[in-house]
Amino acid sequence: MEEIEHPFDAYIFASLGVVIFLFNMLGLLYEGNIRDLMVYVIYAVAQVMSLVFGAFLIQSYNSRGA
Amino acid sequence: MYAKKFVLGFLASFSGLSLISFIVSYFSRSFAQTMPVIGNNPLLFHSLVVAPSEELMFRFFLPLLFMVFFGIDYILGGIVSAVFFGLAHFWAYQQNNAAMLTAVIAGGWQALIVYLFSDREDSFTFKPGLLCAILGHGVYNSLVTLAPELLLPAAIASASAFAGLYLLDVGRENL
Repeated sequence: MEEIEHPFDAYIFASLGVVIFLFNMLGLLYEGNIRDLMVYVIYAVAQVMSLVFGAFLIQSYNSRGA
Repeated sequence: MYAKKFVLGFLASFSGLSLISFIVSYFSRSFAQTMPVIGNNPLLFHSLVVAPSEELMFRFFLPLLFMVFFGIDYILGGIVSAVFFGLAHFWAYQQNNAAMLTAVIAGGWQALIVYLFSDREDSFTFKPGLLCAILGHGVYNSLVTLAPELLLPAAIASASAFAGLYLLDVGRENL
């Protein structure tokens, strides 16, 4: 069974998205634009959860093959 | 090697997504669309929030989940998660079946990009295939949102650039 490596290039790019999310969240909160804010929150949570659980799944996949 | 795969993968991802969208919309009269949301900066939203989020969910997390729990290959997991990618666009595409079919085909195409343009010699690395898919998706979403009239010329230009670079590379290897 082949191993899987962590895609650190994609991790770095995705972390930029989290920064943009935090930056825009302040603007949306200031404007009181809750609908757009919730869309940002859903995307940001999905992104962070995919990163974290994906990293755990890679560890799990590699440890199973070891 | 990384740079070559990165450029080719990005061009293939963007031009493929655009051409899939045009081909399906030609037959079904539905047209590519992105969410009509947007906050204060649609370009940053679509390229740095939507694209990484969707690609990490459907080209990274879900295929890995299928690989770990069902022991299947990445490419099969990617195709199964492309179906979920289509279903996830149910509300965004207002229950338009043809538009959802576009999303399923585009999801399969993106999974293929991740698989083909990732380094697979010693171990499967997702590099740089996943980043190519994220950037291709981001540029596609941004163009559809901000300047849809530029989508076809940009897709043709990037498909031509892909073909030119690929042929140059093949020619150089054969010398």
